[in-house]
Amino acid sequence: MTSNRWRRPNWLRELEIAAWVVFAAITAAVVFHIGAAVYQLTTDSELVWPITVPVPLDSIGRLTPEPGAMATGDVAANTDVTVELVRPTIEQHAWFLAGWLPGTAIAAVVAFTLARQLRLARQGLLFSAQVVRALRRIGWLVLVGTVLAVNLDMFATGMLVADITPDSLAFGMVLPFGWLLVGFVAPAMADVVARGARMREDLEGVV
Amino acid sequence: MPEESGFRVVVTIDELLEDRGLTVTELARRVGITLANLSILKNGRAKAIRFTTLTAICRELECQPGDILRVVPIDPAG
Repeated sequence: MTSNRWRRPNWLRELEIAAWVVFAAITAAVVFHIGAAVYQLTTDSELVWPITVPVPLDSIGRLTPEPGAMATGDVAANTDVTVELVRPTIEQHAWFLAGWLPGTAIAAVVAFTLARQLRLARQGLLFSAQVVRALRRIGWLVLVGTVLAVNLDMFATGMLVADITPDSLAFGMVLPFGWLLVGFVAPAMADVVARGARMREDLEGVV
Repeated sequence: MPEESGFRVVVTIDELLEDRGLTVTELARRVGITLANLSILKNGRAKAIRFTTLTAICRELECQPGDILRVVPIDPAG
């Protein structure tokens, strides 16, 4: 007899809760960042959570002397030093959000969608057209969205670096292979669920 | 899944129910299926019937499957 020691009978519920927690955390982080930016800009105070910019070590000596920038991090060859912008300008805020927000939004949408589908699964409605559509939506969103988000993040970071140093970062196309894998797996799972939905539909008429 | 062929199977148990003095509710109870499912079977809305269900119905109605199953053409008018 196999051991049931590791079995978690409510694992679907736990997974759903985890997805909701992730969604709530991401939403809270977005609201906090935007709120902190508005507060910083309107009150001319320092950001509670400074914007961090990775600047190549070679460029660190030629930082634009902004009163709100200070450099931290290890000093080693061929590395980046983290520069914290505690009083960023509106433009710097915009570039930071442009780099960070799209990917974060995608993660929030995926977590929200997963939480809702897990709730359907707990109600016994896993093999339904709604779940199939949701999984395909996740697949497309992740496939297209993460490629755009990752490259926009690189571009925005480059613009931030260019803003605080005389240098600019070389920009090249990046493919987020991990997320691309998720983007391919989700539609594959959608096909499996679709077959299950067809089987369930057949079974419903069986006496 | 086989294609629709222009024919369908109909289940006729009313005569046998009357002969045996059984109600639909009683037959459903003895066969071990819900009244709703037996109604679905009677009204031609079932997509398939399990052998166990068919065996139980024939046992209770003391008949053969051919006595209650017939193949008829689908009426185009609906």
